[in-house]
Formats: sequence, structure tokens, C-alpha cells
Amino acid sequence: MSLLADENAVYLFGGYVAFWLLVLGYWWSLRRREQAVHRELTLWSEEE
Amino acid sequence: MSVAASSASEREASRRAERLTTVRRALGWASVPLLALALYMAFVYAPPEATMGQVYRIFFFHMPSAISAFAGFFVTFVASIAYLKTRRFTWDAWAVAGAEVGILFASVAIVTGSFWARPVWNTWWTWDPRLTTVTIMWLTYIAYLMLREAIDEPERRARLAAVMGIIAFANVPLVWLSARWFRTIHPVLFGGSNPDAKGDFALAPSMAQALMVGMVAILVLFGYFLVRRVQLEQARVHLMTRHYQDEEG
Repeated sequence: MSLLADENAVYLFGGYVAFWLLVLGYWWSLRRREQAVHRELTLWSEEE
Repeated sequence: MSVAASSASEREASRRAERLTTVRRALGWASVPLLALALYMAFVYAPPEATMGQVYRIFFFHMPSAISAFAGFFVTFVASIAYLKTRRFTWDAWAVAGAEVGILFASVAIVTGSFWARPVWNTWWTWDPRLTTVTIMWLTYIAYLMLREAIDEPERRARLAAVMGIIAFANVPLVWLSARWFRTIHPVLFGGSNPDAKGDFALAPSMAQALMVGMVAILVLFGYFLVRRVQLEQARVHLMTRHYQDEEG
């Protein structure tokens, strides 16, 4: 039976979508925090 | 410390930071083809399972995510001990990184497990011993991060968090053993069996290979996030120490 024809395909794909949402969400959150810290560090070194 | 010694230690710190950046980049780039291969193995290479059909394929990312969560909390445990022994902030950075990335992968394991449970157990969630101990573990490490956010002074925050990082780990072996010690519907595939399990299955060789590739891919991704979070924490500590010194001075 093909993947899409399976009666539980929605749960299988739902699980993998959830995986990628969590992983990419965390990657995005890390990026945002890194940018914020680097912005502050740059401001500080400019003040000095 | 003399000027020469101080500059030598700064050079050493900068070399260590560069090495960590190289490792982070290598892990990040390696994770992309590995995850693509793991998806291929999970969806194409591994055959359907006799009773569950296709939905069991969630397992190829569910179990490696759970193992990565354990690895993250183990990093927190070891780094917390190392911090209390050495009082070096770099260990504190590893401890918080382990906890945060551990929470990410524990969340992935819980959510993917829930998607698997709905068709196989006929429910999204049940207070089974494995699921209950996982929830306690997840909440404990959320509390660990909340404790850290509640304390401004870097040394005090690192010390108290290290104590909690050690105590919190006590629950991690319990999560692993819960499906072996207690009556539970969660399957046990390695190191034992569970007659009450629903959704249990025998691993065919191609399934085991797909699992191994998934394990490597997700552990590499875990390593990438871990190192990146360590570097973020090191930059944050640098910033907060200067804030704190400014306020004190």
C-alpha cells in the first residue's frame, strides 16, 4: 500500500511536520538570540 | 595575572572558540545530507510494518529524538559536576546548552510519539508510566531554565543551576527503565520486552539500518544545536558579566 493511501497517513505526515516545525523553530530562535547578543556586543565596543 | 600571561590565556580562549566554530560548521553541514538520507531510509528504504502499516515510520525519528534528549540531559549532568569542581563558566554554558537542546528533543519525542499513539493506541495521550516519567523529566528541565532566568548574578546562577542539573538527572534513568519496570503500553525494542505493549514490532534488518541512519543524523543535528547554543551562552555570559560589573562599579 502506498504511503498516501494508508488510512493513517495524516498521522505519519503530521508527526514529521511537527518534527520539522520544532527543529526549524528552535533554529530560528537561536538565530534571533545570537543576533540580539551580537548587536549588544557591537554597541558596547563602539561605546568604548 | 601578568600582561603576558593574560594575553596568552586570551589567545588560547580565542583558539578554543575557533575550534568550536569549525566543529559547529562541520556538524551543521553534515546534518543536511544525513537528514535527507534518514528521510529516504524512513519513507522509502524501510518496508511497511505488518500490523501498523505505514504509520510506524514515525519511529525512525521518534526514538533518535528521545536518545538525543537523554544525551542533552547527560551533558547537563556532567557539565554541572565539572562546573562545581572547577568554577569555570564554560562548563555552565555546556550545562545550559545540554538542558535546552535536551528539552527540544524531548518535545520532539513527545509530539511525534503522540502522533504515533493516536492511530496505534487510539489516544493522543495516556498517563502511562513511560509518558508520565517523560513529562516529569521535561517539566524538571523547564524548571531548570526558569531557575536560571530568575537569578541575575552569574556566579550564583551557575552554582545553583549546577546543583539542580545534577539532581534533575536522577529522573532520566527512571524514564528509560519505566517501560521495563512498570506495567506499560509503551513498546520496548532494546534490552527487554513488554508483553503489555501496544504497537510493539520486530525490527527487520532494513528497519534496523533505517533506524541507525536516523540515529546518526539526529545525533549530528543534536551536536550542531548543542555547540551553537554553547557559543551563544558564552557570548551572553560575556555580555552579562560586563553589565553586572558596570552596575557594581
